[in-house]
Amino acid sequence: MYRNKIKMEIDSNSYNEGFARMATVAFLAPLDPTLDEIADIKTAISEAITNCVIHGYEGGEGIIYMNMYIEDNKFSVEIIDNGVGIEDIDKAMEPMYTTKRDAERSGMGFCFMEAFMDELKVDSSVGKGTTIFMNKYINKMG
Amino acid sequence: MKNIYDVTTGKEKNYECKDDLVVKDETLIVYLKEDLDHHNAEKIREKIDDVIEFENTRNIVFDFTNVSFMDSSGIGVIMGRYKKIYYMRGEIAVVGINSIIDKIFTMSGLYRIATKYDSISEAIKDFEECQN
Repeated sequence: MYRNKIKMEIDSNSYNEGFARMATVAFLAPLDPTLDEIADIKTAISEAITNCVIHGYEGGEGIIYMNMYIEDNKFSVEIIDNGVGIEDIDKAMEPMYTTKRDAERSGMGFCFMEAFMDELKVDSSVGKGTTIFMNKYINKMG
Repeated sequence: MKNIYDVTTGKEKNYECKDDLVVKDETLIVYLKEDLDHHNAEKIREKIDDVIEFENTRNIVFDFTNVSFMDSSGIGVIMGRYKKIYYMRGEIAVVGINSIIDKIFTMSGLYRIATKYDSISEAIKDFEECQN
């Protein structure tokens, strides 16, 4: 069985959104994912990290913890921030719902995470932070 | 650099007139060159809004030929620009959409406000036919 894991601590800033995507692609390489699978996972990761930067830490300083795991063909990722937390998770996950309409946020972040990954779990408490857990099976056809 | 008279401040303002933004008649053509994520969205949005403010812009064509990634922040950029040109009955066109970007457009319903074309010239021709 192929196993691997990587644990990263990254500063909460928008530059690191691209870095997190690239690190994910490199981590996934041994599973030989299709271009579609790579695109789906990159989008989900980008949404989760962007949420930490914009909402969790509200553009300020903070650390984002990103832990990725591979077990056989299953890719899992946890993205954790110690930011403001989400008051109403169900509401936050509604399509087009956003608390930052002025900043031109589309309210599609969680929809993409849900659509592009096989599983999405959100755990959050106000004032403490948010944990996003996602997984996806790679090469389901193979 | 180009100097432009800013009516709100009464001063000359200069902004960089880069070749990635071209105004042709009433149409702004935006040649996107980077991933359309949150990090780049803010820069791109500012650049476009500078041009919309100072040049006669009614329609916008986004060229995605060199874009390999876009997330929900990119959707915000397109939607926000649409709101700015909507009152002039302007239109948004997109070209060079690959299958990955197409998925984002389809899922988010962006095709309701932006029309996909095979080339920039086709988009401009359509604007002219519909608006004159």
